[in-house]
Amino acid sequence: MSANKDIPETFSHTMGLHTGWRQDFMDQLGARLINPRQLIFPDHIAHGGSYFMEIVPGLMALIVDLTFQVKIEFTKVGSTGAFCIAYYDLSDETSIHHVNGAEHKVGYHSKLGMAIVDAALKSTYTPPISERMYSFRLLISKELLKTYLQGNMPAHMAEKAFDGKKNNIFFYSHIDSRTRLALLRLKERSYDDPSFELSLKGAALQAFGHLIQRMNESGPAVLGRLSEAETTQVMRTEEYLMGRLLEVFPGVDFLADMAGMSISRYNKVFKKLFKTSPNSFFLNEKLLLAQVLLTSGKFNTISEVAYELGYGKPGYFAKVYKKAFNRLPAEDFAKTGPIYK
Amino acid sequence: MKEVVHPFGVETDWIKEMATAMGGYVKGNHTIVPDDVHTGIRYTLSINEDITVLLADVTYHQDVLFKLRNDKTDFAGIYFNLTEGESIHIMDEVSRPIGRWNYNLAIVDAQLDLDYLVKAGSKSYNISIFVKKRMLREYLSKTGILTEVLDRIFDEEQNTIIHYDHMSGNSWHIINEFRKLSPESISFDLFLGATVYNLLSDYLEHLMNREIVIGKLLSSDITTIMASQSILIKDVAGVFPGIAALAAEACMSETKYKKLYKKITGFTPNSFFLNNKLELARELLASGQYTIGEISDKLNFANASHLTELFKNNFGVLPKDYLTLL
Repeated sequence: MSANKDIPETFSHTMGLHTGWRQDFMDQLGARLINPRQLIFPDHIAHGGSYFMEIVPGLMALIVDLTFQVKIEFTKVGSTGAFCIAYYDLSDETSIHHVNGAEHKVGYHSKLGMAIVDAALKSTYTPPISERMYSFRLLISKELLKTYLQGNMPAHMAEKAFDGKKNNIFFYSHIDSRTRLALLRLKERSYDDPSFELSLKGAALQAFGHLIQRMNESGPAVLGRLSEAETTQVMRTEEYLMGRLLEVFPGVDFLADMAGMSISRYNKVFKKLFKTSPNSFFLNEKLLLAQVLLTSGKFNTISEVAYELGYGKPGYFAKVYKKAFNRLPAEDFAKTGPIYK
Repeated sequence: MKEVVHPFGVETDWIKEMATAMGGYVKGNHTIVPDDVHTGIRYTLSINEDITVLLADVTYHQDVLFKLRNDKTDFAGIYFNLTEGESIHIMDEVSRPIGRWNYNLAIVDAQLDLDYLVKAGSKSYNISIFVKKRMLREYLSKTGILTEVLDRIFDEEQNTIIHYDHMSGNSWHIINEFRKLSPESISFDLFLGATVYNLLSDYLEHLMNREIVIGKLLSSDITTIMASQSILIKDVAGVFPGIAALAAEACMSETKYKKLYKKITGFTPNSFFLNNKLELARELLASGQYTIGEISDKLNFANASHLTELFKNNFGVLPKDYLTLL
């Protein structure tokens, strides 16, 4: 394994509805196929590999299960084939840990676990080092997607929605609980299991079925063409918000400035990507986090949770919580176990 | 009573035959059957070149005698059956009912002709999965079964694939999740496909933990074994009649009887009988009307402590602890 001494710092690859795209990984990173479906990375770059299989014509499933040893910036270049990629991030959950320092920082970072992105868009990511990254992906041809979405859409809109020149399909959200369950069950299985293929097909069709249902409910992701730079910048502010859910909303002017856009443009792009305004997106995520904290059993009182989330008045917190979930915080609250003093 | 003669298969040409035999017609994936035969949904979907599924969620309004007569033998049917009550009866060659259907899961070789009667008023929920034998073979070879054993399993002269079973909790859960979905849903076919793959994955894994008994058998063998099992079920409170008596009743040698019984049901006659007895003991215990001593007498156990021991072995708890769990 000494031949591959020089590990590249950046690496570009394509992706497609065929098995050939993995060649880039073999040529440039020294990954190898141990069977037609399984690609293994060389140990000095990352432990683990990927699994790629056709589910039905026009639908491929890809499992990426890697623990990186070195820092590499990956770039998926825009693909020419007319398809979309649905990402489901199932990496081990970052636990809620409190750092009781002077600044009273809380190391919690929330994330949206699911995205469906037009394969024509270029994307860049740098995986974390020494952390298991597990993601499930569906590569879906637009032809197939169309047959399932078109019914709910007037023909002229469908034409526009699936025309790569006029629109990039984009949808970004939390993983719904049923899909999460199906995928977590799959995550526990070994590739060597004789029924792994059947389980993968089952889980992939379930995930795709739920995706279709949600896309039909929330309306087709017609956004018009967004420039890559704008998308990347707005995504960066979303990440910023998700990392600071315990603080107060920083204000649209601040976020727009961060994205390098005018306030009105920022609002418009944000709304296109997340189907909601920055402020209500932030509040909604804050309340979802509240639910996690309430049920975590790590707090003694509901007031503590309210203060933790930056609400000055527990009564007000209860009010917004009730409005969002139609339940009072007390109904979801799990107290700390017995405390020994 | 309506008689419906039709084949099944992985290729979907039989659907029209089934529809016609039931007095109905095919409309897309649906088979429309006259309301006086049954109401509800009869839906078929080809999953891939090796798998086809038939979903029937129906209520029968007259007695229907199904006669399964396959013209291809390259597949096996895996039947998941959630029919309520004791409404399906397996019939012998001269259409006499020989026993109630005690299982909610079966894998049956296409070689076998099956006759069964569904009573009027039955609410039936069935998922029948037809799988090419070559796919089953490929799957089994991955589990490490030797080629020569596989050759024997899939040689129609030597072996008939048949196994009656109870579905796992997991399969039950998979089906119940799926049942919540309306057939009008845009993702219906996707979820039906997912359900079929998940059920197959669960079932084949489970099948691997069972001993495969190789042997050729005829449709009449199944009815004979089922009839024999019905006797065991009826006499559950008595003492075990013994293999010799059972085999004589079935007109088979003891060796053949034992082998076929195990092949079809997965149990020896004795362990089937005992399990059934213990299930009944549990029911009686749960009713709260009997003491252990009374149940032991009623069901012909040697004595109360023997029953207690068997109960513990089978269910993992002592009878008195079981009562507190309820």
